[in-house]
Amino acid sequence: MKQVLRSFAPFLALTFLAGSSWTTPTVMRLTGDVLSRPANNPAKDFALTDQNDKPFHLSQLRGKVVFLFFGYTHCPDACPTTMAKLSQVYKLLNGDTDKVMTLFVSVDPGRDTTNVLKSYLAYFHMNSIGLTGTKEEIDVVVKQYGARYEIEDSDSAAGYHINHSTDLYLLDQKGELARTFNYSDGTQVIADGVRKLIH
Amino acid sequence: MSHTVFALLFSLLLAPSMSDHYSQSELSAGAVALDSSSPALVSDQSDVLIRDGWVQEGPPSQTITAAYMTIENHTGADISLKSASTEVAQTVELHKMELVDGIMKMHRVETIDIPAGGATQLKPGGYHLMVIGLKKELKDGDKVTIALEFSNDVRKTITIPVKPRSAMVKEG
Repeated sequence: MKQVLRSFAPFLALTFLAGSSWTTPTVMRLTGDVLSRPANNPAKDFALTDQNDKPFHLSQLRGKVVFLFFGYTHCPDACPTTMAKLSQVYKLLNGDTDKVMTLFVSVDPGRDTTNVLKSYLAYFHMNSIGLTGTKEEIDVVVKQYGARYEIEDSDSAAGYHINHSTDLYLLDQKGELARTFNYSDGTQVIADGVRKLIH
Repeated sequence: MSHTVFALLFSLLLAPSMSDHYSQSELSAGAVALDSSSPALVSDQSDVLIRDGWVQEGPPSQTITAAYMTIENHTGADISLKSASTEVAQTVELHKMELVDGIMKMHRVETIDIPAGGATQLKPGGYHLMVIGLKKELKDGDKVTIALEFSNDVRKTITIPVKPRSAMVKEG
């Protein structure tokens, strides 16, 4: 089976290929460029589903500083590194941890069910919410923040993998993008960024 | 095999500070096992040392993980890691991560080269052993035995600790 779907970006075509060894019915390959990064001023709200299967709106976190990044739980490297880094940032923030929430937005709705997200986040022991939705819903948020990802099929026994941007977005108490951290930014730099918003 | 290299290998195997959390057995083809009482000759091909190995602890829901290490090649010839296997998982593959313009990309690779007299690091953001289809949950403190097969008929079996990723993130 092979069919071509158009994404929200008109220049972009996604090819869905069957044949994954995983339970997901399709494997997607981005044949064009990866999602572009148009957004410098993302909207202050979006809607997805949290790890408890409850509707989630960014606006419900008004008053909190928010970390937001995109990833997937099968990610062997970048995502656990970012989660581990954030877990250390929380330690650096000491008494301010309840003022900070981390949003892990999955770009792998095929495998990251709400239960998988729940278990994944519980492991890292920090204030965090796992978010998922339909691919279309997720792509709206990806575009909103100018993040990028491509789902690539592979001959790996692990099935398809996802190449994704590693930026970490820091949102202020009003939901506005305050700062974007690079993957190489260390825990002190990130903690300082949060402190500036809290104090 | 030179005395220097032998001494290095010998000290690595016996160093008490390492033995608590890291052990390594010498299984090169044609090699004689080393022990404290009867150091024996080993072929040049056994001059491949694995250091600082660890396997990433993961959330219990995960059936994949990654293993990292430094491979030193003290032989006079270039070698490459061709495959790996472990009893705790169905498959082990060689993968490479690359950060390109802020995007973390992953590729499966056929081999990982270690130049003669050099070393190759398997580390976060670079090469790793992709451990797929875990048969049991791996927890901090567990040890995992991995068989490595190199070119030139070099085979090594290592036993390395499971560590949480957070233990490897440096503050800064």
